[in-house]
Amino acid sequence: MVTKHDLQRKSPWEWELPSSFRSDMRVPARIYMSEPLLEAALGDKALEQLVNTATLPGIVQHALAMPDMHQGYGFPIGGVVATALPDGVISPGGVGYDINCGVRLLRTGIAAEALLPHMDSLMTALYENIASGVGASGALRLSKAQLEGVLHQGAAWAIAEGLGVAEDLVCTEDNGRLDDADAGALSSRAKERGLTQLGTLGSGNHFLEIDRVDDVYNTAIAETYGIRAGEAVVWIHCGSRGLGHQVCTDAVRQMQSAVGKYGIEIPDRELVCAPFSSREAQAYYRAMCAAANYAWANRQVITHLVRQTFERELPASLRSMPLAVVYDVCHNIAKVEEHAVGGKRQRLCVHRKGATRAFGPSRPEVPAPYRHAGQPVLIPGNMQAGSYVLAGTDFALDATFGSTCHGAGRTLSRHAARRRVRGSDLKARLESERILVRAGSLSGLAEEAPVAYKDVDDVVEVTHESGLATRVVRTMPLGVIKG
Amino acid sequence: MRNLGFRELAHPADLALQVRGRDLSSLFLNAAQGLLHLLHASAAEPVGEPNDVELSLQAGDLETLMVDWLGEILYLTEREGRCWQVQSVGVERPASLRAHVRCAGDRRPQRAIKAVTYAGLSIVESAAGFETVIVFDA
Repeated sequence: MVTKHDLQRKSPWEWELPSSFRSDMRVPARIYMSEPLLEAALGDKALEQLVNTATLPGIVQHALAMPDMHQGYGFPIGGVVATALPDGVISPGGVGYDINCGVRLLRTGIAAEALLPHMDSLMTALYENIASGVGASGALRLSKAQLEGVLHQGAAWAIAEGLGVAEDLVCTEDNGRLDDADAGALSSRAKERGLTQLGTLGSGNHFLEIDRVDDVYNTAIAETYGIRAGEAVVWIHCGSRGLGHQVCTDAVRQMQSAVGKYGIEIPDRELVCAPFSSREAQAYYRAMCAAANYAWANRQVITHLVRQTFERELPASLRSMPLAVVYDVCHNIAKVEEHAVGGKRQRLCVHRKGATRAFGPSRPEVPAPYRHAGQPVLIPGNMQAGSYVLAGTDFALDATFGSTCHGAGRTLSRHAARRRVRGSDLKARLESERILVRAGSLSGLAEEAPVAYKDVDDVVEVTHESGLATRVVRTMPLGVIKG
Repeated sequence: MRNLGFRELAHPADLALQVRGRDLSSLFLNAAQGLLHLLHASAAEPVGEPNDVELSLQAGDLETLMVDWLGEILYLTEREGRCWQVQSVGVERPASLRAHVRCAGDRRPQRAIKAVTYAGLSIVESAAGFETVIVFDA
C-alpha cells in the first residue's frame, strides 16, 4: 500500500514514487496533484493501480497520474502510460471499455440571456430528439455496409451523409478518424451492437448540457477559440456505446492467453497486454481505432441533431450562425504518437484512460486556426459547478506526453451517492437554481450528483498551476440532459 | 436489497458485488441474481410468450467463465431491452457452464452496465462454499 511517506514532493503540484518502491516497477510514477487531492487519492486503490501500470513492458519515462485520478480497474482513471514501439505493449485496460468516450463543445453565437425564454421547450425538444438512456436505440438504423463506412471513416462518414460540415472535422481530434481502423478486426457481436446505437447519448455519466460562458480567464485564447463571455454553448459527452464495450470485452478475453505466450507477468488481469507489433495487439489496436471512429461519428450525428433542434425550436432572429464545433477530444484511447524521450524522438503508444490530450502550440496536430494558442482541452465538471475549457501547452508535451485530466473524478461510489442523495430532491434543487433537468432515471441522476465528484475547481487549478494546460473559460449549466 | 447470495459493495467509480454460493452452480446463479439487482429491473408487466435461451459456455478458467456468463446476460439484456431470469445453471470443472435463461415479463433495466471486468476477480473455495467479488464497468 502506498503512503504519503513513500512519495517525494517535486513541486507544489508534482509527486514522485521512485521505482524502488516495488521491485517490478520499470519506471517511477509521477502524480500531478495538490496535497489535498493527493490525500484523497490515498484513500482508494488508485495509487496501487498506478504502480501496477509502471510494470508494463516497454513503458517509458513515468507512469503518470492526472489531477483527477481515482480508482478504476487495471489502470486508474486519470492514468497515462506510454510504451515504446515496436515492442512495448498495448493494453485494452489502458483505454477502457468505453473506447473514445469523449467530449465535444459547440458554440452557438447566441447570448445565454436571449436563450433563457426558450430553454424549457428547447430542452424538451433536445431530450425527445436525441435518444438517451439505458440501451437506447437511435433514429439511425445502419446497414452492415453503412456500419463499415462508419468504422473506417469516423466523423467523415456522417459529414458525407449530410450530417455536418467539413469544418466540423478540422476542429475534431485527429479529424474524427484514426486511419489504422480495420472493421474486419471486430467481432460480429460488436458490429451487431453498433447497428442501432449511432446518434445516441447512452446513460450513466454521459450527458448533453447547455451552458453559459461565465468566466473568461484568457481573453486572447477565448477569442481564438471563438468563445465569448455570456454566450450559450453546448457540451456533448458520450462514447462508442455497446460496440466499443464489446471490442474491449473481446480484447481483454483474447489477451488473457497472450500474456503467457509473450512471457509477460501482470499484477492484475485487467492489465492484459501484448507487444504492439504482435498479432493480438494489432487486432485489438485496429479494432480500437474502428470503435474510436464510431464514437466520433456518434458525436457528429448528435451534433447534427442538436443543430436541427435549435433550428426548429428557436426563432430565426436568435440564430445568427449555425452551431459550430469548438473542439472534440477523446479521453479513453491509445494513440501512436511521436514524443521526445531522453532528448530523442520516439514513436510511442500513449494510453490515456480518463485523460485528455493537451497538445501545445508546437504540435502540428493542433488545428491551424488554434495552432498559436494550443489545442482546446475540454474538462466537464458536474451539473452544478460547471465545466472548463483550457488550452494545451508545450510544457505538457515534455511532462505528460501532452496529457492532462479529463474531468472532476469521482469521490463517492454510485452506491453511496444513491444512499446520500434522492434524485427527485436533486432535480428540484437544480431547478431552483434555474438549471433545467431532463433525466431518464432519477436514481441515475442521484448517482451523478455533484457531491459524488471532486471539486472541479481544485482539479483545474492544479492543471493550470502545474502548467499542463492553461485555463481559458468556465461555463455554467443552464440545462442538463442525462440518460 | 440484502440477499445471502450476493451483496452490493461500494466501489469508487463503478459497481461491485460480493457473491457467495454453496457450490459453483449456486455461485454462478447468485452472480446472475446480483447482476439483475444492479440493473435495477423495473416491475414486471405481463407480455406474450416467454423467450428462452439455452447457453453453453467453456473457458480456460472459472474466472473467465464468470466473465463470459455475466457478459452473455448483459448482451441478451441489451439485445432485448428486457431483463432475463436464470431458470437453471450448472457449472462443471474445469470451467464449463450450461444454463437456461428466460425473458418473461417486461422487466426493463433501469441502469446500463458496460461490461464485466476481471478486476480483482478470484473465485475462492472454502469450507462454506465459494466466494468472489465482481467489478462491473458502469
